[in-house]
Amino acid sequence: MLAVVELTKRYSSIPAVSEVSFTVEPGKVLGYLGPNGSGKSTTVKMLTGLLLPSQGRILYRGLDIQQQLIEYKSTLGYVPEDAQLYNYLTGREYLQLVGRLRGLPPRILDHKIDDLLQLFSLYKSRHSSLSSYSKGMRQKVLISAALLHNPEVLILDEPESGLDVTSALVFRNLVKALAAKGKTILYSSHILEVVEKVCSQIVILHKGRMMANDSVENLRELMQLPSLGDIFAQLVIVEDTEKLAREIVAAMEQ
Amino acid sequence: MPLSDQPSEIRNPPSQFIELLRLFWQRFLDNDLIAPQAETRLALAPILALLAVPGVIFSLRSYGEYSFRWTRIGYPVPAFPLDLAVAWSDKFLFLYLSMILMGFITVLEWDALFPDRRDYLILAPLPVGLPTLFTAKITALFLFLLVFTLALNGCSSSCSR
Repeated sequence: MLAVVELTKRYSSIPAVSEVSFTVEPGKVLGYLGPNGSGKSTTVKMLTGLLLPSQGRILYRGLDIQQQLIEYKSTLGYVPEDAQLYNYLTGREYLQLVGRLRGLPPRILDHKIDDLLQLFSLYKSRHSSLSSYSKGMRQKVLISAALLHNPEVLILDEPESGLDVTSALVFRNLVKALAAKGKTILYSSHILEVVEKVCSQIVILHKGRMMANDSVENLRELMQLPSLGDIFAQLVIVEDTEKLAREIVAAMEQ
Repeated sequence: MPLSDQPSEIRNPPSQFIELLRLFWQRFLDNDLIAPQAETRLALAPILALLAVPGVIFSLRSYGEYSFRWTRIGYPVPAFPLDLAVAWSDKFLFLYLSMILMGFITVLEWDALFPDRRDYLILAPLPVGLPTLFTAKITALFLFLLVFTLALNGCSSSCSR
């Protein structure tokens, strides 16, 4: 179980995330929702060990991840929002690098890489440098890299970014299948319909603060609203979006 | 299985250092100034050969010059009397050349000299210890400098023995 306890991150005393708490059970997918700048990526970076929290703790199997960071990272699969890759490597070389750094035996690693490249339709481009890959192909490489070592915990930060419709549908089913295998999954996104379909539990963040933490069904019932989009709008969106759009058009036409 | 009970090879793969060394070595050859889209890697051998050429030419030229002086002096001195004041200008020439070329290489490779944001974003989520990462980076840097120093000065140094 992954537990976040009163997690806070401040940048020069300005809070980006304030006292956020939630737990993700094995076999569950937690949807982490929020508008731009709400603190989603900051939380994800703390969960992956990229950032140190200013306050609070992240517990995995009851132990603080900072006390067992290397061990925790060896069980973690992470798909980042920003597809940073070494462009001079080929797709296959990148996966080999990640697999070797994770200590996978070469024979198993080569077999897994070939399988994943084929399943993600990247096999034909496996010897091309990553600089020639499209955004969607780079995203598939990152997803493959996150799955190589059969991780226990998956942190997905806007994982469908750049994926075409078919790949996105495959990916949604993949997330459900991984949850069914008992993986602990955090799915950070601002695409409400995807989160609604894939996630069993939702955390909504606004300006670094947690606005809701419950299942979609409970939230619907509690707020008497039909969809996650309406719940999100009720909790987070304070602006008149139609008025704002008209103002943008007016500004454009000046 | 508790994390602390995992086999040590999973917690600290022994090949991590070698992998990182190879990665950082390749990064020196992936130069944004020459190939912004990484469409080509710097071919090391032609560059090293190109750098060795001035050393070879000057060494051959100096070989004839200092052999001649030795014959004219007419008493036993080393074949290359490098302590002679007349040799200083040639020695300085080698030093200038080395310094200028090393400066040029440093400017060209500046972005790859230290771990950057890309390294951090790619490698930090992996189970790689910071000491392993930095040791590999420093080793790759010293290896790179050693290879270029040898290419620049290897020929002239071996000729002066």
